[in-house]
Amino acid sequence: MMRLWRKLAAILVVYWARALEYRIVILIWILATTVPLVMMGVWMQLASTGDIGGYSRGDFIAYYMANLLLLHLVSTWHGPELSRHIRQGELNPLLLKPFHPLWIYALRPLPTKPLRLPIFLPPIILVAWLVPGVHYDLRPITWLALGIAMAVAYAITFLAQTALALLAFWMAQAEPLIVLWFHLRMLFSGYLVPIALFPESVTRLLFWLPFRYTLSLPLEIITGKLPQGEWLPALGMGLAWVAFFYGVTWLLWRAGVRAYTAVGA
Amino acid sequence: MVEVVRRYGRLWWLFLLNSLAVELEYRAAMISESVLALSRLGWQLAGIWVFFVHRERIGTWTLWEAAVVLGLFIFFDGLIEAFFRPNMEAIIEHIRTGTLDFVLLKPVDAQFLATVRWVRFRHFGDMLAGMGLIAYALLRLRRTPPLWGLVSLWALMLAAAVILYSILLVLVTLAFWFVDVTNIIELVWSVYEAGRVPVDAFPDVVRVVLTFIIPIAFITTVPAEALLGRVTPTFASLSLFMATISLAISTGFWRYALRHYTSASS
Repeated sequence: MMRLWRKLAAILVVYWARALEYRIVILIWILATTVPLVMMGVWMQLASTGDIGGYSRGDFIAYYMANLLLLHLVSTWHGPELSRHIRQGELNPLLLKPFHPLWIYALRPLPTKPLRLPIFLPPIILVAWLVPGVHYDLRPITWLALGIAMAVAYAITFLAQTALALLAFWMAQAEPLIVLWFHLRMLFSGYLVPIALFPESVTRLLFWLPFRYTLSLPLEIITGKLPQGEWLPALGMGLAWVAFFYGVTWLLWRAGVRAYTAVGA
Repeated sequence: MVEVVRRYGRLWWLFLLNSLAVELEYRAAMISESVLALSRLGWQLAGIWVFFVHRERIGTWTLWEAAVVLGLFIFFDGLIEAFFRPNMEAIIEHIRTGTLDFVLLKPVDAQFLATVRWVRFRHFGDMLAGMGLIAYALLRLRRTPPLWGLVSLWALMLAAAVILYSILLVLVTLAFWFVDVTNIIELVWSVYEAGRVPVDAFPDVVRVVLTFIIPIAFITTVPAEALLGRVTPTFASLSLFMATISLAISTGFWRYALRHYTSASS
C-alpha cells in the first residue's frame, strides 16, 4: 500500500512540473471560460427589479464568481484524450506501468488545480468585500461539507467520462458520446444557471440525476443556498452516483482490456 | 484587377475542393458532428430559455427575439470552426515548426494563403442549426423580415464575419511572439461568448464595451435587429465601419509581424 502511495505521489510531481511548464497554456484555457460571467451579467440586470426564485442580485454575483473557480477545481476533460489513446494504441505503454493506468488520468489534472487559485481567489475576495449583498457561508462545517462535495464532484466527472471513453475499446466513435455528456453537464450541473431556477419539476428530477453533484452541490453549499438539513441526503445521493460510475468503469475496464487489440503493437 | 480576383477565386475554389476531399475521409465524424450540432443547439437554447421562466424580456427582447440572436451566435460559432479555426491552428503550427517559410515563398499573398486554405465541412451542421433556429424563431414571432432588413442582413453578416476574422487574426499574429502558446486562439471565446445574448441584456457599462471596444454587438445583436426590422441605418453603417477598421488593424498587425519574422529554423 505504502508503495502505491509513493508511485501516485511520483505521478503528481511529474505533472506538477508539466503544469508549471505549460502555465500560460493553462491560463488561456481559464480565460477562455467566460460563460458564467455572461450569464451573471444578464441575471444581474434582471434581478435589479427584484429577486428571482430566491436569488438577489448579490446572490447571483456570489454564485457565478464561485462557479468560475469551482468549475475548474472539480472538472477534468480527459475523456476525449483517453478514448483517442485507446483507439490509436497510445494506451500500450501505460499498460506496462507498475500501477493501474487510469491513475494517470485521474491524478494528472490535479497539479494544475492550485494554479487557478491565484487567478480566481483575489477577484472573488475583492467582489465579496466590495459589492454589497455578496455572501458566502464560511463556517468550518461548511468548509468540511464543501470539501466532500468537491471530491464527489471530481470523482463523478472523472468516472463518468472514463466510462464513456472506455467504450472506445469496442467502438470507433466514443468521443461524440463524451461531448454529449459535456452538453448535458453544462446545462444541468448549475454551470449555466443555478438549478433552483429551472421549473420545479426539473429541479426535483435533478436531485436523482448525476449532473447536480458534478458542480452545483458544492456551489449550493458555499453560497449558503442549501439548508444544512439537506446536505446529507444530497451528499449521499452524490456518493451513490460515485459508487455507480465506479462499478461501471470497473466492469468496462475489465471487459475492455480483454477485447483490446493494442493497435500499433 | 479583375485578373487578380479571378485568380484568387479559382485558388479558393481549389482549396474548397481539396478540403472536401480530405473531409470525405472522415465521414463518421461528419455524421456525429451533425448530431452534436443539434445537442449544442439544445443546451444553449435551454440556457437562455430559463431567463424567460422568470421574466418576460431580457433587455428589450422576448424569448423568440433572443432566439434569433442565439441562432446567429450558433451560426457564427460554426463559421469559426469551419472556416477560421483550421487555418488559424495551421498558422500557429507553421510558426512553431518553421514551415511558415514555405507559405511565404509561394507566389500568392501570404495572408490569403494562410487564412483561407482549409475548410472543415463537418461544422456546417452548426451553421445550419443556427439558421434553422433563426427561421423557427421568426415563424414563432409571425414576423416576415422587411426587405430592407434582408438586404442589410447580408451586409451585416459579412461585416460580422470580417470582425471575427480580424479578432482571430490578431490572436494568431500574437503567436509570432508567444510561440509556445499553442491555444492562443481560444481567447476568442472569452469575448465571443458574450454574443449569445442581446447586448442590451447586460448592464450599461458592459454594453458600451461590447459595442465600441470589442465589437461583439455587431456580430449577433445588430444582424438580429435587421431581421426583426429595427436596425437603424446609423447602426448598420457603423457595423460596416467597424468591420473595415478591424480588418485594417488586424491586417496591419499581421504584416508588421511578418516583417519581423525570423523563422524557427534558419
